[in-house]
Amino acid sequence: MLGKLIRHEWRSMWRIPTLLIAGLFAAAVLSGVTSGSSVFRYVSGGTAENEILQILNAILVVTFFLMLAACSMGIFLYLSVHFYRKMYSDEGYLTHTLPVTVHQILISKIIVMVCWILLNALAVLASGVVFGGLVIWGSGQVSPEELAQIAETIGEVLSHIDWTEMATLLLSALLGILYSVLMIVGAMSLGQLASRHRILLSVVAYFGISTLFSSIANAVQMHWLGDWILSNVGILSGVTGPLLAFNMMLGIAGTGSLMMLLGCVVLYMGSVYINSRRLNLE
Amino acid sequence: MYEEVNDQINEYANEPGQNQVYEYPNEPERELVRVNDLTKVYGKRTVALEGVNLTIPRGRIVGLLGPNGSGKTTLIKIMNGLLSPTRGNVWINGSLPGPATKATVSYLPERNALDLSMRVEELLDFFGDFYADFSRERAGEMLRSLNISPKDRLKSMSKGTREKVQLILVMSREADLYILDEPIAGVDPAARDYIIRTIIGNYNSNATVLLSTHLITDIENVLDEVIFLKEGHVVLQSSADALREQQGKSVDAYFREVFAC
Repeated sequence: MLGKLIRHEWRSMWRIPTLLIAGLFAAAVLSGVTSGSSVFRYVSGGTAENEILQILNAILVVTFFLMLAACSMGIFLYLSVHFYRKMYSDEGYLTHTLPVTVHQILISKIIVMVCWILLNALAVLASGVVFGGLVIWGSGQVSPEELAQIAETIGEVLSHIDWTEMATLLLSALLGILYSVLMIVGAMSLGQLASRHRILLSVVAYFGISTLFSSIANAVQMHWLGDWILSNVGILSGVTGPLLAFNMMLGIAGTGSLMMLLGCVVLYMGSVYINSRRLNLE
Repeated sequence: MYEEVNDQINEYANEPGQNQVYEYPNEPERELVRVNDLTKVYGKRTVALEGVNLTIPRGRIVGLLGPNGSGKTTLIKIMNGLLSPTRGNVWINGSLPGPATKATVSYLPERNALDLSMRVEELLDFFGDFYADFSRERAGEMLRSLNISPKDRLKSMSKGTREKVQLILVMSREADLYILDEPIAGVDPAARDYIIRTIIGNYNSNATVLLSTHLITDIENVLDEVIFLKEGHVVLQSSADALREQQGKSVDAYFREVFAC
């Protein structure tokens, strides 16, 4: 049943995020092409008749950067609205009468939302590469040999990466995405406890939970940092500065991830409880 | 357990001021729904249901009748697991509302619960995927009889046609219990006839149809049993024939008498 839920959830929501991502790429391509052309003309001596192109280029570049923000924001907002619509509006009557468990309903929605936020992050990165690549290519200032050299340098940098650390970083990023999705799920579910103004309470709950969890995480991190400094006081007086700073940052990030993991568990269990024991659809 | 709950219902029914005419089945195996001391309070003061006790047997068309605000929809939503009771519980096929009961209950809400951006064929896939008792053939036949194309999107349909599509999906299941909340409210008389014909023609003799409405005239003839709800209390449960015989008037006429303003 979980597979079916995921498939239908995906089917019901792919259009809008896909349109937003397509718009982002269109803006990246157009602004990249005009920027490359502008750089080329500038380098080869700009003339008055190129001003219109320059204005158009400026507008397209601004549009691209606006689209970067709009795409991420738009997808996040769309996911929130879609979740609310499927769970707590009229459509919730169908969702909650399916012969499946609350766990299955929530997990299917969480998986699809995490996938879309990941796709959005990848799209933002890729659109940046497309934009940059088109500017470099269009400007005509980089020879194929230089491009090959850049690619070789990137390959060399990648070969020196510690993939264990990279995997840890990626896992941490994935945890961050899961946390942001569960914030939506938890806040919307909490809003259902109100007898009126449920959407308003969901928004208030979102910011409330966010502030509360951040405060707790900060307090725990500060406490950890204090302990760490005290236990490393001997080393601190030494000269191993950069390594020490790196270890400290890693420790803070690790504590943050642990707090996020705890937050995810609390938000998920709270949502399951509300949807199975305290559900009161209007 | 059945004896215990039956005793509670008897005690409640025999209390002074209660005028229930309970006709609960003697054989527990014929019993499909049991509502036990069900109370629902919205907020702190709004009592929608209070101490409701009921049993509904298999193989009947039961009218859940009462004026607006009497608690019909609240009772139905609790039976479908969409509302949490304040006190008491509902048993369907011996289980509390959950995945097991949802697999055997086919529910038509009073509002449109379908995604308007979906095509009819996508809805058929959806119901087919989740409900093992869904008959795509039966749904297809009913849709063809109404000239509704599976390619049509719900948002391109009139409100009445959407309601018919929803009813077709619900009645195309081979369920044990069909719960239809106000299926004929807000539709024209021709559509009402279609809806009533669809209900009668598409349920098996072992299943029960629980039909909530305040428009009794149109459905009186199809009802085997009636339950009157008033201000969150069951004031009567009886077979329709027995009621007509005892009162010497139609169910509709008696309803108007009981609920006269």
